[in-house]
Amino acid sequence: MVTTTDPIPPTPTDAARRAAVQRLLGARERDLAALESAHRELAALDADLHRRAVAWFVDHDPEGAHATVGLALLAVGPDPAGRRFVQARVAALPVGAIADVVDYVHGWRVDLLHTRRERKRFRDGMTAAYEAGAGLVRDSLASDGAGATFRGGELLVTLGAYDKVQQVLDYLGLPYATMACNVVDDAPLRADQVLLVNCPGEFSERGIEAIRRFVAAGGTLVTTDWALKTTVERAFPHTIAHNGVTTPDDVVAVSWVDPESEWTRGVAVEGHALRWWLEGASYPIRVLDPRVRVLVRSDEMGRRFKDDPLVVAFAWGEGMVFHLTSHYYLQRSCGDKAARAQEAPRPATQGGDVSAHLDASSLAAAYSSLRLMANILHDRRRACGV
Amino acid sequence: MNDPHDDDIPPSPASAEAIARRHGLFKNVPRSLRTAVVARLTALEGDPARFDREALAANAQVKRLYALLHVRPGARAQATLFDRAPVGGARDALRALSRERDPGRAAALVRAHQIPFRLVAAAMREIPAAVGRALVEGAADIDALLSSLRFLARRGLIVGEARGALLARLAASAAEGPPLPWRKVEAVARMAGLDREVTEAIYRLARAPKSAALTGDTALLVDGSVSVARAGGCLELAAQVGVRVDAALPAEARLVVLAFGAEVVPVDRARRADLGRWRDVLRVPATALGHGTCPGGALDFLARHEPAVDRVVLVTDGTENRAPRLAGAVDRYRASTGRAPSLCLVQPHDGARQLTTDLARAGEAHELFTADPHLTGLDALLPTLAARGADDLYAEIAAWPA
Repeated sequence: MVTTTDPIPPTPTDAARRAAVQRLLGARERDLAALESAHRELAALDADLHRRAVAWFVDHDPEGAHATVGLALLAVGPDPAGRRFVQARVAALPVGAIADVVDYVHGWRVDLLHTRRERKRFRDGMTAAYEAGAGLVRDSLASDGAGATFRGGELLVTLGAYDKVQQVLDYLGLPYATMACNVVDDAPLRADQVLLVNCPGEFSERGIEAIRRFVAAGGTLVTTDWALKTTVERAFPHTIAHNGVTTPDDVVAVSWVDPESEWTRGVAVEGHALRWWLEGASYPIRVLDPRVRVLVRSDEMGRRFKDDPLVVAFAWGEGMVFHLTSHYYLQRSCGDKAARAQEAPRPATQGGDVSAHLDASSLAAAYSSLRLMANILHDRRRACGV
Repeated sequence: MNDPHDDDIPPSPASAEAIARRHGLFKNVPRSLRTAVVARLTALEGDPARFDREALAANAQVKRLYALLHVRPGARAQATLFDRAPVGGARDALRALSRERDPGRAAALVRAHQIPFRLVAAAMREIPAAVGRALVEGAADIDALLSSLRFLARRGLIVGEARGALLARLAASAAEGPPLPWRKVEAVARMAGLDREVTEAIYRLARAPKSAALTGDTALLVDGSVSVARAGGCLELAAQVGVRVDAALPAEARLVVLAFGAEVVPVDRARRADLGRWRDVLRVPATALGHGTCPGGALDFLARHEPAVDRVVLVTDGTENRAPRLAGAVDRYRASTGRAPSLCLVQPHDGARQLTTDLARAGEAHELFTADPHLTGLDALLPTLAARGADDLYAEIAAWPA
């Protein structure tokens, strides 16, 4: 019984109603918690307006989450008008939509399901070198003030049988997302992302077109080894190409590192002869366009395998393509590349303690590889702005 | 080449963790809802052909409804959903389709039982042309046909007789059926990527856009960066948009046109210019606009150099790759000018979702208008611009019958 001491419930203002409707319309379907909260807020503010909103959702998108959640809340709510409303609508809804409403009432709307594999990173002779090298790289970037912020979503990696850039990124502490090559066909690539292709990089024609447009719009592509033929030659013809020769599992001396490039800063270590590790059947790079910039060269590579570039970069549209001979993650082979690389003085670094038991040439190779990758990724991140 | 790494070997089950999130109200279904669902299922069972189609298209969902709500199915429903499907039914036909090698007989099965595309694609590795035509002719309704059109097109099935059947079906639906929402039709036309004649036929299904006059000052920001396609050297989509907006605005309203890449360049042109003149002024060399795409910078430029506008139309390929970002610029524009202009992104059919996603995440209201490959649906742009966005939508919802 209402008495004279009962407070008069405030009438919601028009502005409050509009804001609540706006929040409901703006709630993303994938964020069901926020969507439900927006429904509850509008229902508490104005039950009639909420029913009209749910009716609008049902008529425009009966199988959408806005309709599903709205109907479920009305069905279990205390308002008899709301329950009658749901009964009337159920008669005309698609059966799948009705099942979604029942599932939501029960709590069986499964939003996310994936299998998280236990991450097994195999350990080999390079593991210690990469761990130590990564620390040195992070210290270097911090002292140079060259680090950028990665919040997640900036780095995409396509899976490949012969390389694992994920391990390199893990050592660098950078977040990334992996996907199969065929996912690139329809992936919503952003112009501020970096796409790293693990060797060999097997893409369909649609995937190649997607990569070409991604780079043209401002994206960055990083490829290695066989992706020269499978990806770069197809997507960006007449830039660089495989020269037809393949290398054995070997090591070549680096004779020149671009001293003015922001991407090669710190890669060459003073007083240390940089060696470049080649995988068996690596593809030497032939430069076809004078606008392609060679960042790292090897005279020995040129003498033995006809072309001397080891790392190249070129602009395409608003984006950049980087290609490296050999792999992101340098593996030791039965032939023991480290032995052929010879012992060398440990790299002089800015701070960081080099573990005494590390093979110096492995550490140097890992450090240079990590530093080059880190320079590219951090630079491209900064270039896009945040 | 060296061997693959160890972690290419599938892990043992103990090393994998399944992650699932459940959402919902975690309540029992109230009696009122159960009663309504039971009535619906009973009505469905009363029409065996329709029941078969629903059970075929949404088998798992229909079974769940019976099972979760403890509804006793009729004999035919029991057989169809839980036991061996009745001979001659849709489920039986789907099973036969998976074994059928003759295209004519397969097409007959699809047509007779209105088997939807999704199930046909699962049952048949390769869909022959005859079945493609049957999918067009046998689709249960125009909604089902439009939903599958993009996939049929991608498989190269909208050719020859199937294309003719599609045109006939679209024409009949446009003449007899109720008009469809513009957004739905536009999405189909854009994603199907079919030829001009079919695209125009698809657009005729939509409610004819009301001719709209625009009011208020408008800014047209045109992405002229390197990545944007130029037809004959001209930003064709921007020219088409510009001439329409220009014609719809009253003479006293301002129309500011800025071209941007990494830099911003004002575009001079007289009001009421024709399409040819718009094409001329929008032959902006990409090199003049710098290297990069920065719509946020264009909006900041607008705020600094021009009086506040009521409407911003951004013709873009949907991407940005330089700071300042658009979402933040919208907020700054409101703060610096005290005005909240409506924002409409106009993109080509193959535009990216980057900008609209970022704006949505930032809670910035905006419209996204996507042009089809042939630019035949641009007549609907003006009504989209004329709508006052959030206010109009609120009014529509507040008046919607409940």
